[in-house]
Amino acid sequence: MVKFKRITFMFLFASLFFVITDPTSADANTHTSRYYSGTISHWSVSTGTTVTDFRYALDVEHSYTGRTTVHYSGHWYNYYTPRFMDFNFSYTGASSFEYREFPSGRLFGSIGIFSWPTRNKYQYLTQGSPWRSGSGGNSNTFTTNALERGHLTARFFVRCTTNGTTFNCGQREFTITY
Amino acid sequence: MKKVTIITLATLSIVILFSSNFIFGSNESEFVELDYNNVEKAVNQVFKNINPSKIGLSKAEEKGLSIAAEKAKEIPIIELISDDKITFRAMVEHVMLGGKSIAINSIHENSKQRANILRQSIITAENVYGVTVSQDEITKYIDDKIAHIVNEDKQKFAVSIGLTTYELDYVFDRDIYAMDVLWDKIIPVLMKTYPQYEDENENNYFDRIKENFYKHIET
Repeated sequence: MVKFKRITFMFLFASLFFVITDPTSADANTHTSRYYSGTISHWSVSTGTTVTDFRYALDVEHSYTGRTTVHYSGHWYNYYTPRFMDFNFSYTGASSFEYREFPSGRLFGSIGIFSWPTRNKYQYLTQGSPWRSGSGGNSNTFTTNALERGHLTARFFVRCTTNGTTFNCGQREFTITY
Repeated sequence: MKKVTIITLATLSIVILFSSNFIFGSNESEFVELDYNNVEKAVNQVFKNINPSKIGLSKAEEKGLSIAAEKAKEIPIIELISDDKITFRAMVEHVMLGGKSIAINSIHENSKQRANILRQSIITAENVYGVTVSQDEITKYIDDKIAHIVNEDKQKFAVSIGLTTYELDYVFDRDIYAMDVLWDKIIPVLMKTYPQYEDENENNYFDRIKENFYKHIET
């Protein structure tokens, strides 16, 4: 009985390491990537309907050993609208990521549109002008609680700036689970 | 033991506070979103300063397009550009953004400048690059890309100025889509006239061809 208790205790103690061990040392790093394309339309008083063709890709490196850990996040986009030629408006793209433990659950990580320190390390071919492009990469580590998967909501925005004010001129949302 | 526990808890708290700030980042303002639930109020306020008939609308109590506006599909493209209409749009947005007083003069001046640039763009496109736009092309563009888009904000605005969304798309906002057609047509011409350099990225290239176009215009 004592021996049994000892073995049980040792087993439980060892299992604890699966839960509290530094997850960045886990094996089986997985790269998930997705590619989307389509059209975004947006209406406002001064711009009427803005139609923007887009291509958007996202890359996430993650692992799962008792919990999900995101090691790297990246995005890339191409977009086109004839409005690029308008003298009074400038159009830029942007992207943000939100990581949750389930689709509308606890937020365990996020990257705002101004928080991408590098280009996306995964290369995508841009098929030439008149598409404009942009990308971002972020190596922050985000980790869920034990036994939780990660759900990513990525957003692509078309921003238009005139007279010093920047408006949302269209957006699209993409959600993946891993 | 108690001391160790307190120190451990304090350290953990600091780590958690630091990492949560690091993870969630700062709360930057990304862009402005207009609330179109207030658009009718904004329009009514602006109508105190701009006569609806000046922008192709009937008098407020009659609603709908003026007879002159209905001819929008027949007139020369350059005549679609209206200082007053651009001023009206800018003023509505200014009020919706919470502009405390309608800075009529400065909005009107900026709008006149904008209208002038748009007219010169139409002239430059034809005289320098041989590109023109027809009314049929504008109608087709609206048919294919605009009219089928259902948008609540667009509907609210149309109602606020006494129009259907059809009238808004095909007549009132016709000047906007005339320029879209012009840009769509002129971009390939500009790309041929000013080819991309070998090591030039797309964003810089597009800025360059835009700059080359506007160098013909007094901005």
